[in-house]
Amino acid sequence: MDYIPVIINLFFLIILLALGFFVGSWQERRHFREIEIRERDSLHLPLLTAKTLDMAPEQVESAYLVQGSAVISIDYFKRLLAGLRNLVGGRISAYESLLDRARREALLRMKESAPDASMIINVRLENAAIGMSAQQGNLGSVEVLAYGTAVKLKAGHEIRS
Amino acid sequence: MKYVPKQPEGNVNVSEQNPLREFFVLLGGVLGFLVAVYFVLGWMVDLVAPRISPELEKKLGVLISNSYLPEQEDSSSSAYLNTVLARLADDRCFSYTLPVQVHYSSSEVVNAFALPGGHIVINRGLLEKLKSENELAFVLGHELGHFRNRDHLRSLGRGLIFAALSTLVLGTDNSLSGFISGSMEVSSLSFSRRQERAADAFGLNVLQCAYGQAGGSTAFFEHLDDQSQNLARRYLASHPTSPDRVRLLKQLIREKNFAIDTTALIPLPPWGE
Repeated sequence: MDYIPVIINLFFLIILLALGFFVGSWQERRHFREIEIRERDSLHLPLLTAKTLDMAPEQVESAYLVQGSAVISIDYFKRLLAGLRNLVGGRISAYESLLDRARREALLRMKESAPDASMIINVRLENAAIGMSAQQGNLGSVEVLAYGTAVKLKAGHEIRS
Repeated sequence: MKYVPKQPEGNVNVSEQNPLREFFVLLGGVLGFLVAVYFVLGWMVDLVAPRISPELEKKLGVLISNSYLPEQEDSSSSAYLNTVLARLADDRCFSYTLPVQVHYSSSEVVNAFALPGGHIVINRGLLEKLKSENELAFVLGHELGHFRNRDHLRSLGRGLIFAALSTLVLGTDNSLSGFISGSMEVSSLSFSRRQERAADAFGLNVLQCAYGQAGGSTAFFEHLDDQSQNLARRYLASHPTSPDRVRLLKQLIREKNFAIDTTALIPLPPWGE
């Protein structure tokens, strides 16, 4: 018979939503800007999904596994937005940007882990929902793992860009 | 084969959509739909409530009322309250499909409420505000009016619909569950102002019928005005304001030519131990 706890609950909900919205979208904008700069800086390193390249073994100096992974969390506002979207269906744009950030960040980290490679072949992406709410069937955070084979060509055999 | 470094323009993987706009459109749509469903189901409850059989109401009473009934009842106060109630519900002035019973609660909150199964609960906080048996009889008559109009079953039905809808949408394990259960308690025990006015009019008739005069009917609200305490104001939040109710009661007394004899008011015994 008391309205006070109701008002307190509603107040905290609005505070969390505002925090999620303002901090979440500020961070997202900043992350996208940073990703674009780093993508431009690492443009010289080609990424290929092909498993094999027609190349003589003596051209290759070394080949090794490289990987990069990124874990991005969803904010409170987007979680509620996605929950509402779940009721009626349609594109969950709140998750689209989350996954896009995680994919590009993982690819960048993979590239940055092989600064002297000539190219990375057989590039694959894996993703997983992690965090406490993943067990309950909700998306809490998303991990994207990018991996591939870095190939370093011998001097004189590089691909010129 | 030549490698041409190139950065794509724009982002095809993320929809261009204003998230705030999307949020409010979705929230508004979903809430609007739920409100519509709530009103349609509430209307159906109003159709069904008068047709609930005494046997079913008795079962509902066992299921629901028990959680609201006071655990330990003060026997002398309860016995006295029930003799007053018996004078009102003597088949001449009031009869119901179930035997009615009143329970004394030691809570200090100024409140009285009607529950399914013919149960009335009166808190000590409200009893302390009363100055005569006639005032008590009016309060009991008011609650009997809720029984007669089936208001207790209507509000129970609406409360259940509200709980069912919120569980459907939010699930049982949700950060909003406390919010919902809080509102659920509020909505399941409160009646609309129209229902309160009808119960007031009914209580007045019962008082006149059982005591031969309408003295004491307006006194309770007038005391509340004198000392509008915090607790009393909270109780009245779901009710029409006291001056409105006093005005309506006085108008009814005039229209029906009910007698008022303030010298014949019966004093009350002390409450509790």
